Amino acid sequence: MQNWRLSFPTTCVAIVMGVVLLAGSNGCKRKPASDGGSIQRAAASAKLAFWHIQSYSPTKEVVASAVSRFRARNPGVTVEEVPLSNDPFKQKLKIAMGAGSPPDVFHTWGGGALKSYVDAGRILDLTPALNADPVWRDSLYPRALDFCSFDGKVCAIPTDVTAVGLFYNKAIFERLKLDPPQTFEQLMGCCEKLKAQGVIPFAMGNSDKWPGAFFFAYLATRVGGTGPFRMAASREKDGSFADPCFIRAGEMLQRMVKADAFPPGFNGMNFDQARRLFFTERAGMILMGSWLLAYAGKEAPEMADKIGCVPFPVVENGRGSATTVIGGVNAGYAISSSCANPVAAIALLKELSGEEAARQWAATGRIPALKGDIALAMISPQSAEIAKIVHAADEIQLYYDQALPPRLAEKHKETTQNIFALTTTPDQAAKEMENLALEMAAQK
Amino acid sequence: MRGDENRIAWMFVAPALALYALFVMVPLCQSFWFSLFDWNGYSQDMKFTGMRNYAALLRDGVFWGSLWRNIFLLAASLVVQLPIAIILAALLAGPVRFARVLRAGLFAPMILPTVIVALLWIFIYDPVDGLLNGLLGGIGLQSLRRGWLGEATTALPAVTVAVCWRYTGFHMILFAAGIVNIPAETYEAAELDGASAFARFIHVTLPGLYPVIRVSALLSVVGSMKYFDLNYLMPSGGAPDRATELVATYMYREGINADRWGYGCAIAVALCALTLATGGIKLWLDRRRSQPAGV
Repeated sequence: MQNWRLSFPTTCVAIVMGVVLLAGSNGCKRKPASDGGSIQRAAASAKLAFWHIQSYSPTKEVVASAVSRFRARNPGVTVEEVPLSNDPFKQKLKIAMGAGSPPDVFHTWGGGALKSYVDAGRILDLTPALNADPVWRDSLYPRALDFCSFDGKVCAIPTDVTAVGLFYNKAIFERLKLDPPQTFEQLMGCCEKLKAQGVIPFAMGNSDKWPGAFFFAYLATRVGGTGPFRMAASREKDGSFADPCFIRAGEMLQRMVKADAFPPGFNGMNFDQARRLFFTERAGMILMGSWLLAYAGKEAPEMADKIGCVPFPVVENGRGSATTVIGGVNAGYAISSSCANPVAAIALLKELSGEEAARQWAATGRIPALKGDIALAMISPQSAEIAKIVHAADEIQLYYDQALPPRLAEKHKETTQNIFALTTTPDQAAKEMENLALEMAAQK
Repeated sequence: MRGDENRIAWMFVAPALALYALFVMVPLCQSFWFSLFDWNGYSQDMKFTGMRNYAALLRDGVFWGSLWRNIFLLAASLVVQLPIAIILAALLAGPVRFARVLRAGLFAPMILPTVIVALLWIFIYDPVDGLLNGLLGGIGLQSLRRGWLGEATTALPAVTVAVCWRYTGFHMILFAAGIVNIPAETYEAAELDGASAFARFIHVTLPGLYPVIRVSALLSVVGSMKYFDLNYLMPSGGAPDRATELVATYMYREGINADRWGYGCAIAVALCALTLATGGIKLWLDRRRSQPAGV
């Protein structure tokens, strides 16, 4: 009997785990209840699994308070809130999607990654729910909604937007009698002068690859407008990633690298290291998303009055508009098509994207994804400059890596980093992108 | 009687075997199955492509480059890490003050969470504020200052140093345990014969450690082939030209980040086969070498 005692618990564990695996793999395949009408109280004893990435203060509390308001209004519905950090979230969601048991409501950045899930038939179309509630629909920021819409269908509700701005240290610029650059040539001049005074022109941590991609996307957009990228990504009208605007952007980047606009070894530094250079006033500028301000508030409150923000400089003879901004959705929420309680899930989305949540978002330094006048009225003073740049923009170009399907996005980030490292030529990088795009188009 | 014993033995092994099958064999077979598809991991249409992923893998320069870096890591761990670990173990086995404290200190990197180790070394290698560049500047070697993790030529050696630093202590502990097992009489006899400390190390300690060296080497070989952690974290996101990419990190980037689950699985299966093969070759070499002496 000795062996029985030993093996019984382990066998139990094995059986339980087996059952869990089986249950997990074929659970929740039901079709969503068609929901055209107004939002009523959700069915009693319903349950919503909700995954998001606001796992740190203060945004964690914003989500938590939206959930608790939802609970108060929908007492019959249990919300199982799962905060995760960035990378584990992406990984977990992908695997849950593959296993056919995604959470009911989950975080998304919109763009290409969301589109892959839409194409796979995993996302609930929210258009009917939006049309059923015009007040809600009309309060949302249309450009942010665009990043979550495909073929005219809204697939997620954005709650806050981000944009990349040229942040600079006002104190340093004043001391050296510099004006924030308005053209690329002025920018090069600024770099020259900052360097002469022993200041690192641009803080940048490009090991994560996306910071360098901001420069690339801005320069390409200023040179050629938003058209070439849109056409290259959608493969329409002979669009190509080998378009001259991408090559010229690469050449300008290499000019900056050769002029030592960035700290030594910047390709091996991360965002933390780069931020430190800017916050300790050893770097004069940083091209970064609006989230930089939230970090400043937390890590270097004494910098608050010193950080200025201007739009990215224009390029001589560029075809792009001077006000186009690179940006995207920082947080949005989608509902999976296998959700058994879409009514309740939509009510949760409304709570997350409503004015009360937006006001709390704004207080953390974020730019809520609401229409201009509503958003600008609630924005925190530190984010006012960047928020104005966003709302004055004629167009928002979604971050290239978020606009592209994941495989091309990875290639874009890789080739751009190699441009920065001078290990490839802009021409070669453009060809590599275009070849992969052609290969992927051929496989479709 | 024997049959009964056999049955009881099986009953003891069965639970472990069941868990092993569930968590190792089943996923392995699943990975192989998925590797036959062009699939992103979640869409409903899985395109069966047979061995096409493997054919693509053979032509994939990034894969071969990554494998080459694994071999670099393997060589470094055998040539750098193991000798240092043996020497440290031998030194600390002698009458050294604070030997226990030193041993614990050298073992510490092994207990630290990997992320902490990565943060530590990222700070050491920081191009502007880092300890290494600060040290080089301090002793007048400004010209050697580098952006260690950001340059395609220095990134891999830099990460490899961190990997060796992390695991040397582990192997040192294995060797220290091995040295304790060497009979004290052998040392006494050698000493009576007039062998110097160095000679005792060469003629007593090393041969006595041979079985432990074999185990350590096997762990190093297998560990380097499937290594992931620090190369994924340092620098985060990856160095230019994929300078720190290993087969395992490439598998992750393709399977998870680039949405190529099928291809990622093919890399996983290849990695599994390669690790088994190198481990097997290593064991076979050991056996061949030990045969003449073994009898």
